[in-house]
Amino acid sequence: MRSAVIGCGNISRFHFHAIMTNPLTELAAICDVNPELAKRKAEELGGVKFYTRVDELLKNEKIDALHVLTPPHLHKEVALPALEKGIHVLIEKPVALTVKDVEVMNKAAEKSGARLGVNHNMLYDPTYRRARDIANSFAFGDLLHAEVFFGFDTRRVIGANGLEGTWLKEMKGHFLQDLFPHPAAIIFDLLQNINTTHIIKKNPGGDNILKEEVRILFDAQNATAAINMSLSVKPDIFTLVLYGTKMIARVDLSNMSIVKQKTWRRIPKAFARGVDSISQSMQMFGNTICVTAGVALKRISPTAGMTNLINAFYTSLDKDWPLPVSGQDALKVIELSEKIWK
Amino acid sequence: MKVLVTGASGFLGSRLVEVLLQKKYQVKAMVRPKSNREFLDKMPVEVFVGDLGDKESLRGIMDGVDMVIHAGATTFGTFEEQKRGTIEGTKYMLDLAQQAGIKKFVHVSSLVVYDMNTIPNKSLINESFALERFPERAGGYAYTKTLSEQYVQEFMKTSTMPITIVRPGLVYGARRNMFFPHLGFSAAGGKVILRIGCEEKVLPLTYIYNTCEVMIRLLDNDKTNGKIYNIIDPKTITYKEYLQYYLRAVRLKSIVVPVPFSLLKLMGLCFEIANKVPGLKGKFGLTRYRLNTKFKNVRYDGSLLLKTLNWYPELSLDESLERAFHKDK
Repeated sequence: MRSAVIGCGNISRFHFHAIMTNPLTELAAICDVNPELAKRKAEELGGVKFYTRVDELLKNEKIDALHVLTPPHLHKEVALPALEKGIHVLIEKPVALTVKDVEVMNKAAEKSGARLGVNHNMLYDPTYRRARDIANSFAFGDLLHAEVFFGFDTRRVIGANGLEGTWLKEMKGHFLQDLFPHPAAIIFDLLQNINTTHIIKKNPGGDNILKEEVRILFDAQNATAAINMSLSVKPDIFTLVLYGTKMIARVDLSNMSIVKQKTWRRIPKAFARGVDSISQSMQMFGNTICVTAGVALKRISPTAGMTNLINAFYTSLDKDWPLPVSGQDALKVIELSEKIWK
Repeated sequence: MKVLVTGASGFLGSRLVEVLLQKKYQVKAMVRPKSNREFLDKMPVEVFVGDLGDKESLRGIMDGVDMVIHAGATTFGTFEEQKRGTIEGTKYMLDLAQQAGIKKFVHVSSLVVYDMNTIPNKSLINESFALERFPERAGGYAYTKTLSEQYVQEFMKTSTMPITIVRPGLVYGARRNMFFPHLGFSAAGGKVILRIGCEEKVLPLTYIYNTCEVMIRLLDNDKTNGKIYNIIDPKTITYKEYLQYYLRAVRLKSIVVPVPFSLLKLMGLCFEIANKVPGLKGKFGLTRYRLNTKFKNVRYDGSLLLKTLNWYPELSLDESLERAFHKDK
């Protein structure tokens, strides 16, 4: 297969890496509206062809798959002509800003037989995969409640001008709307048949849109869940806590650690507390050693979820398997996102 | 709607009949002349007596029938008898169903059809994985199930009849021996159980009522036409956990000895060599090929069917096990 990448921003290097290391595909061309950036990236990639206009790329290059990494409000505009031509498309999250846009893309894909994949990379993150296996295991029991906390320190990416001049301005929920698919994809993956959702939006910062807090409660057939998102909490946090009938699993998705908390029925309560603390700290210690060693030896990568999902996308195209995350799967996330940031 | 269930006296078939009746379907139950019909006789069903391997005996089987769940197979007798009942039987059923203009044909296949010898260890097997390449080396049941599924797949390509193939995992529930051969070998009169493979190895279980529920939901779901689905419950249990549960439930105090799969394969190799010795030729069936089909550490992905049907088991794994071992009749 031949692939092309549209948009050479921050995220593009992970896509380039995944494409170039995957034997099923080769990088045919790249494209960015900024000619200097496109040229520089093309040189870095060993002289791959570059374009500054998508239509030219589509006209001149015979490609099978297109990665769309442009700002979210432009996803549909870029992806639609490709989908109509029958080219498979992988779009970064959030797939679009409105349900309507997702539906239009899904329809175009269905019509031409092209396939639309979405990069909800958290679903292929190795730590999350482990957590998911735990939640499905006999030893865990039944899932009662799942809770995600996602906190993002905006000072890292924002200068004195705030959102001015950034594409985040195009989104009503800016940072939170852009990052929402991460926790949302996880919760939609863990819950079955969601009945109701309850949204709480708060802004302790008054007019300062960078202080938004969002909480969402879910009621589903198998469990309840909560998503908490904050731009004010310090430090950065991305945790998932799974409450089961036999165990609690505390998952730190950023630090790549999982701590399981079990009951110690045979020990008197006072001792059990101590034993539990020791058990938790031992697990944390073991985890830290493993992750540190893994990262040092390049066995573990914090961005493995992205690579895994892109590889799974190409395997699915090659073998005609269901996509890792399809446009239909992503629709649910955008439906809720649209509800939050009307 | 009248549904024909073949293999209706079997473990899966008899429950299917029961659940179909609960869901207000009319049922025609096909059994062999020698089958135990005690269970069926108590239910308001039309019983059709015939032999899948004998086309003459199937005359009139599709009369008044709208849909078919083909769960019948011949799992006993000589290899020839099994081939006739399972492979030829499936061909007859498809032809007859096609002629009768059946609205939906569900073919019950099995997980044994996957090509375990080329699938890498620890794979998550989905419906698109390859079928057994050398069915003749995988044992009678795997052979007949693979060949009949291959036939159904070919048939599906040209036929206009809506067909769905399902591959259920290890179906558990009351009225069957729940010591699955995959768990290992029982030795010293059951006092010792040799559990094969590593601790994390997961059993591809599906609770009988979940299996029936999804199969019946398939009947009037057009999206499933021409498709193949694994039927595996989403909750997982390891061999180790299941054996512990099993022994407690049936009140056995056997000692479980874990045996590494590599050791077993070494034994398989010895058998293969022994098989080459004149006079012992072909005496040992436990080749590495067959051991791989049964004991390899893989997992099966059952999410596609649940997603398509938008259904999720109502009972938890603990509750299902409790019912299967203690409450269900």
